[in-house]
Amino acid sequence: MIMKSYLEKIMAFLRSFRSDRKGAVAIETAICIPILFLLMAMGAELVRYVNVVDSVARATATTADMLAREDSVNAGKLEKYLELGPKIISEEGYGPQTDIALRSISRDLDGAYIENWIYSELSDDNVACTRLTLNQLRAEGFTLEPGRNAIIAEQCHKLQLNFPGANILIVGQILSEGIYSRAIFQTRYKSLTEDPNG
Amino acid sequence: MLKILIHLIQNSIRLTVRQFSKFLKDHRAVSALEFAIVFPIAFTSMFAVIEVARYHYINSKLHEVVRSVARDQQAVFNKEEREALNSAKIHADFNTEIGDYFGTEISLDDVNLEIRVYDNVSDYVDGIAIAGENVVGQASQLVVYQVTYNWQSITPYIDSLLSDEIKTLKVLKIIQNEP
Repeated sequence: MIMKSYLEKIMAFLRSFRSDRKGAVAIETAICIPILFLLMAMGAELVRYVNVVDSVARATATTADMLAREDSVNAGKLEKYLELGPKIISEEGYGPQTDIALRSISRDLDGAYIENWIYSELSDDNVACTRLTLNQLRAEGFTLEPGRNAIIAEQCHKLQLNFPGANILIVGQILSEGIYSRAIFQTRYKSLTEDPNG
Repeated sequence: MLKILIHLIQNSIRLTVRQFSKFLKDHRAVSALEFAIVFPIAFTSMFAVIEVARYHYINSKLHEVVRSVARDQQAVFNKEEREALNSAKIHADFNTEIGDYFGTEISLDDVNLEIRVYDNVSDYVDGIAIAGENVVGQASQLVVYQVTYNWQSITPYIDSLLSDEIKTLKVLKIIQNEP
């Protein structure tokens, strides 16, 4: 009996709450403002994403270009080259969370591509770019003259979002994927085909 | 006397409460009020989008300027010309390029070009730059051109909402001098 009267009271309150139009504008505003701010944050993150994509692409190209100019390479030198791309990205203010792989490829006179050596450095931040493949030679997308040697640099950078709230949107999920870039430069002065480890 | 004063205060409080409750029940001009609340937010959002686009535009253009200046210095093959290069000339070229690319859109006072020279990649990674006031890089040396720009928004007050880290645009170009 008591239970029933409570239930009736609750139902009566809900009915009056439903028909009450007071404060509707305030509630609408409270719903809309966070969405508006999230959209603004998303816009800002998208611009930042484009800037980081540019930065990673330039850093990758610089790394491959510089390495392809070397007369010879050894393990110590390559260790420094692995740090070059992340340092450039970091100096532009985008953080050092970068996976990097450097490899030397050649094309024999029959036209087949050969991988001479590969050096890589994977960061601790679980960048996980599916396109950065360490166990597979991907030579598509460019043509190397037969008998010549080239350097491929690949980088994958994890974007740090300025507005963590933007992450809940689908675009935020896309932005949190690794940013991948790849650059190929033909060796300039000498062939760099010898394995630096001997 | 005191009673009259208390009575007056009580009356004025009652009147104010009555007027306020009347104001709360008054639904006239609700749309105008809503508009007044929403308009500044919508207006700020619109200008924020413009500012964000402008931010990216300036960043891209600064990259173009620094790439152009660095490329000019990289491709000096003549030994005498290379030795005659100096920091003042590169800065003058840079200022001219900024003027060509941006016109009056950004002020030269907000842009700074820093030139650092390294013997090789290892030195750059380890941060061992060649010391000196007028070092601009000889043949085969590594030269880092770093431009910093203190971003100024065209919308008043927007830049005061942003941190210095976001407002400082950093643009970097690394080249190895020829030959």
